Amino acid sequence: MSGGEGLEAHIVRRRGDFDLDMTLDLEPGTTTAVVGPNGSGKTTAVEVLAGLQALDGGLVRLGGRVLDDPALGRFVPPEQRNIGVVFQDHLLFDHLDAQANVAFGLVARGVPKRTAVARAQHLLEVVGLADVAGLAPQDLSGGQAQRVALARALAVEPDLLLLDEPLAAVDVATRAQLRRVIGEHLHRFAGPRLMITHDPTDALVLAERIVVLEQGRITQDGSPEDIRQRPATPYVAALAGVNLLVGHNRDGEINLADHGHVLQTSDTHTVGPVLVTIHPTAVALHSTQPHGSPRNVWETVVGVVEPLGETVRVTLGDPLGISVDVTPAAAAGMALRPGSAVWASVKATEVVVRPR
Amino acid sequence: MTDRATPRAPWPLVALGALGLLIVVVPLAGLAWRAPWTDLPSLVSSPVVRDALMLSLVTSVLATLCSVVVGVPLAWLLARVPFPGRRVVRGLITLPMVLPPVVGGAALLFALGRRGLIGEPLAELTGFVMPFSIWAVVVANTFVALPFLVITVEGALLGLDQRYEQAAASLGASRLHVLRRVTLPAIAPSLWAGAVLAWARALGEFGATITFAGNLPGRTQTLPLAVFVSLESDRDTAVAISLVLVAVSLSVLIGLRRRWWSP
Repeated sequence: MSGGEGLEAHIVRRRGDFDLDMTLDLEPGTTTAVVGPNGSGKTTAVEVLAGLQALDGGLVRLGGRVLDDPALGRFVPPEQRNIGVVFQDHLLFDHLDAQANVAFGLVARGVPKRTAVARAQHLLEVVGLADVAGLAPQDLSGGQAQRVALARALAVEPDLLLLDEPLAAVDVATRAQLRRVIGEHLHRFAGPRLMITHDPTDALVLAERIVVLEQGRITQDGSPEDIRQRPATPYVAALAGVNLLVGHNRDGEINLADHGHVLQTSDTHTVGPVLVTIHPTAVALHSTQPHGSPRNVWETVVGVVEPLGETVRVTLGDPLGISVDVTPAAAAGMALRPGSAVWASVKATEVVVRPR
Repeated sequence: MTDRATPRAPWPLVALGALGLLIVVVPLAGLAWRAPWTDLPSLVSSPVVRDALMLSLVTSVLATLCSVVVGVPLAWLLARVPFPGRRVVRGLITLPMVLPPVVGGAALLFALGRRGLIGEPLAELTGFVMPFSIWAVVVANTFVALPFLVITVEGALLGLDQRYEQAAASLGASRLHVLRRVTLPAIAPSLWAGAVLAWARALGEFGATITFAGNLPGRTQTLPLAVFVSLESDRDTAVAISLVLVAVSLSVLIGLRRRWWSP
C-alpha cells in the first residue's frame, strides 16, 4: 500500500516470553476484525496503534504520517494521533453527563464549548440517544453507554477507528441490537476500522476481513467466507465451528499424522500433505455398528456433551477427538453421556481436503 | 436495631475497644470538667485569644493551599512518571510525618534563618528575614502538613484506573487537560480528605512553629502556642483556648460527617 488514507503497520513487540510480530495494512472504508485467543497479542496491537505502548521494531503509518518508527526514533503520543478508540468497558467519564462525554474530545482540541456541545448533541441523535444526553454514565444501560462511547470516539473525526471488544461487556439480550447499531456506524465512517474481538459472530457479521492472531503471529488473513470454508488452524476451525485435521492423502486414503487413524475421502486429486475439514453436522452417531454406504466408520466413546440451543454438540474421544452436532432428540434417544460407547460415520464426500 | 443473625462480638475485643475509646474520651471530659463555663465568653474574646485564633486560621489555611499547590503536582509525578530515585523522593516526603517537629523547626532555621543556607543570601539580597514572621509560621505548617496531602493524593492516583486517562488522551487531550478534566475530578474526594488532614495537622502544629517562628503574641503565637503559654500563667485561658480548638476540629468533623460518620 502506498500510504494514502489507510493504515500501514508492522507491529513488533517483545517482552520476556511474549513476542508479537504482525503486519496489518488497512484500506479506508473497510472493517477488519482481529480475532485470537487470550494472550495472542490482540490487546497489545490495539495499544501500540493507540500509542499506549511503543514499538520495539517495525512501523506504524496512518494516512501517510509516521506515528511510530523505532529506527528513526519517532513516536507520536496518543493525544496527537487522531485515532478514535472504543474500549470494552466504554470508559465514559463518571463526572460528566453523556453529552459532555461526547463533547470531551472537541473541547480538549480547543473547539468552542457551544460548537462542541451542539455537535455532541447531534452525534447522540445519530446513535439514537438524544433523550439521555443529560444522564450520567452510571445511569445508562450497558448498550447505551457503549453507543455514547462510539459517539465520543467519532466526534473528533479520527483517521482510524479502533474497537476493542466493543460487545464483550454487554449482556446477551442487548448484544445483537448493539451489534447492528455498531455495524451501521462502521459503514458511515469513511476511514479504516479495526475491531478486536474473541467472538466469531462479531467478526463474521461486522468485518469484511478477518485477521487471525495466535501466539503473536497471524495464522490466517481472509474474508469471513475464507475463514468459514477454509480454516487454516484448529483454532480458526473451532472459531468457525468445523473440525480441522492434518494428514497425508494418497489416492483418497488420508493418514492422519497425530491420530494414527485413516480416513477415506472422495478427493483423489489433492494428494500429499493436506488439511482435512469435516463439518460437525456431517458426522452421524449410532448406538450399534452401522451398515451400508458410509466409507468411514469407527467405534469410539463420548467425551463431552454440550447443549447449544437447537443442537447438541458432542465431542468424541479417541481415536478422533472431533465435534459432532446432533439434534437434542437424537442425543436423548441414544442416551448420550460422557463415556457412552458409540459408532461414528462420515461419508467420503464429506471429508474435504485442501493442500497444506 | 441489630439483626438477630449479627454475630455477637467476643468480650475481649469489646473490653479493649472500650478502653481505647476511654483513652480519647477521658481527657476531653477532664477538659470539660475544668472549664470555666461562666467566664468562657469573656476569656475567648480576649485580644490574645482572638489574635491567636485569627493567626491559626489564616496560617493553617495558607499552609493547606501551599500544600495543595505543590503537593498535587508532586503526588502526580510520584504516581505517574517513573524517574530514577522515585523511592528516595517518596521516603523524603514522608519524613516530616515521623520527624519530631522540633527537629523540623531547627532544620528550617538552619536553612531559612538569618544565618541559614538560603536565609543568609536571601537576607543580603532582599533584606527579607523569615524567622519570627507570619511567613515562618506558614512555612513550618506547610513542612509538617505537606506529607499528608501528598500521600493521600498519590494513593488515590495509584488506585485510579489509568485507562480513563488513556481514553482521554486518545480523544486528543493533553496531559495537563487530562489532569484537570479527568484525573482531578475523579480523585476529588481524596484530594478533599488530604487537604482536611493537612489543614488539621497545620492547625495543631506546635514544635516546628515555636522553634522556627518563635512565640510572639499577635505575630507568630498560634492557638497551640497560646495554650502552652497560658498553662503557666492563666489556666482558665488555657482551657478556654483548648475548647476553641476542640470546637473548631469538631465542626470540621461534623462538616465531613457524611464521609466519616456513616458506618
